[in-house]
Amino acid sequence: MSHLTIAASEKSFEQLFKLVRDGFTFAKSDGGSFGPFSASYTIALHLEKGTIQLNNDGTVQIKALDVVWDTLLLKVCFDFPGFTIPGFCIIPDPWNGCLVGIPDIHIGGPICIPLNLSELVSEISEIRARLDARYFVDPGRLPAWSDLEAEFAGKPNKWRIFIDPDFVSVDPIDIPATVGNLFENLVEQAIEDLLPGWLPGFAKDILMAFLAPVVEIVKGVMDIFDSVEDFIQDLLGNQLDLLGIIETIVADHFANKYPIYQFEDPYPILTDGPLIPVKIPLRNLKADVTSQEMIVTGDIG
Amino acid sequence: MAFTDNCDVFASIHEDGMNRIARHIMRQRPSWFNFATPDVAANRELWCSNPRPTGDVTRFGNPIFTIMPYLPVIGADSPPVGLGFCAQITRAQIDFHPSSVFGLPDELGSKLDEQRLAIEFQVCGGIRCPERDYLDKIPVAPPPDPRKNEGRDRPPQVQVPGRMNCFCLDVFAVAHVEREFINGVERVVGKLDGIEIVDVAPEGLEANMECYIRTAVSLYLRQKLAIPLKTLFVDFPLFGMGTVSLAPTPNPPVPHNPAVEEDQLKAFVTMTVTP
Repeated sequence: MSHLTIAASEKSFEQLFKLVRDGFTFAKSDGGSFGPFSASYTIALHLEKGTIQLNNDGTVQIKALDVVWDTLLLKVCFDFPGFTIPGFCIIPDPWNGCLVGIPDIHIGGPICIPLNLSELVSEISEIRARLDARYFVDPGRLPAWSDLEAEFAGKPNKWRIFIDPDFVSVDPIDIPATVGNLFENLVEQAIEDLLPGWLPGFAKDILMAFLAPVVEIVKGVMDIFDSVEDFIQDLLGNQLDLLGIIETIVADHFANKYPIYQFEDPYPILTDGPLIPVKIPLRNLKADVTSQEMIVTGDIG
Repeated sequence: MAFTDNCDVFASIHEDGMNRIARHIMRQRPSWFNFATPDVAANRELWCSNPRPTGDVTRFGNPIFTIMPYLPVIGADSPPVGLGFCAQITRAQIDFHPSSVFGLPDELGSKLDEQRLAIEFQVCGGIRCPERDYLDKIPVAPPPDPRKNEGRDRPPQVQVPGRMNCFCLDVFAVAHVEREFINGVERVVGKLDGIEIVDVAPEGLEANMECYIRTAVSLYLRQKLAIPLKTLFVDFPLFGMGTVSLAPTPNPPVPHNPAVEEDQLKAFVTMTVTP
């Protein structure tokens, strides 16, 4: 029989899980080139909600864990193909040509569409994990130190218990339909911005009426054959691989970064007073779950 | 049956583990188990038992002995004379109900009752016995005024050397555990129910010795070995968390908390979550 047993009910395990979940934050900026266009992103996110289920096979299931995108900035850039809008006359001169006209206008060049998708919420549909008790030796600990000297130096050995995921299933980032309209408006605005600044507003309106089909050309350039929302979802999730990144960092957070339970080894039990603390070595630590509770066992060394 | 059927957090320690902890405490806090006058503490030849402290004890300047005043010699006051002595606890082990680690003397009922634990320990000690020749060389001073307990004119105590006459006693105690707030911290404290010294006669001497040891052990358990309840849970993360409060599970549903049963000391805690 183990010398030491500590058990936590499913309810208290859920509280432990919340501590680990709330300890998660992540931020990153990156981008890539995808043939006719390039894209970059800046993200910052944290986790919320989630339900816990403990199973008799020793697994922990976490479901419906929200990924809250505190920052999700996407920028798509492409080269708008250059072409010339032939000049035309606005006020003709009945005797000799044109009194007021618009000369030939050449437009084209790089266009960037910035999209702010912050506050979106996506979901990790399931994490299936097992508890894993590991021994941690502080890399800053000097070999000659005793356990007590290591403690006084703030580098004690530790037992750490992690929720070690077997897999993390991340749902696609659901892009709302309004983002499609927003994207098209931003494309139109970007094209309008390519027009010379000296053009009067009414002239721009006339030209933009002619250029309306160009938005569809832009979509073609970027291979947007279906809805804009699906394009952005695929761009973020697969081409920029945010789903893969979330899967990796969430798994790493639970499995390596934030233990659900940790304590010093040897464990100090009598710490009051001027004498050195009494420290008890703990060995053979194991952590497991049943459908009702988490059970941690160990021996006194 | 789950450990947490009637609580949210459960901790238990088996008597085998507790006995290992006792040995660690004895090695890391030797001054809690070895008591001597300065002359005896400073002379290893006079020790009745050789403690085995860890290297950290001496490395960090911790004492091996708690220094005690000399044993006054009754009737000697001009000058007063003191004898060196030592008392050392050389072995200690614990047995949680039911009895399985060691047997109990008949005076304590042979076997443990429910929710009881037994402690068995050996005390070795001795008093330095001075040579008569040495005593004869102590100059006699004018007698002090017995109406004054203290005074500048009182001659200083003379500590006399001598050889150590060591003896050992086997002591058995039966106790139970209670929760008690000491200095604002809820602790698990052992409370003595009975004590028995083996093979001491006459009865009156045994009774007085048992009274002294019972008093010493009772105070010792309360002052030195009252472990904070949360220590049993080995830094469980929910202790100290703002939105969660943990309190010992009441009766009902847990009749004994802490409980001494199945060769273990068990503690049960119930959690309340603040929204």
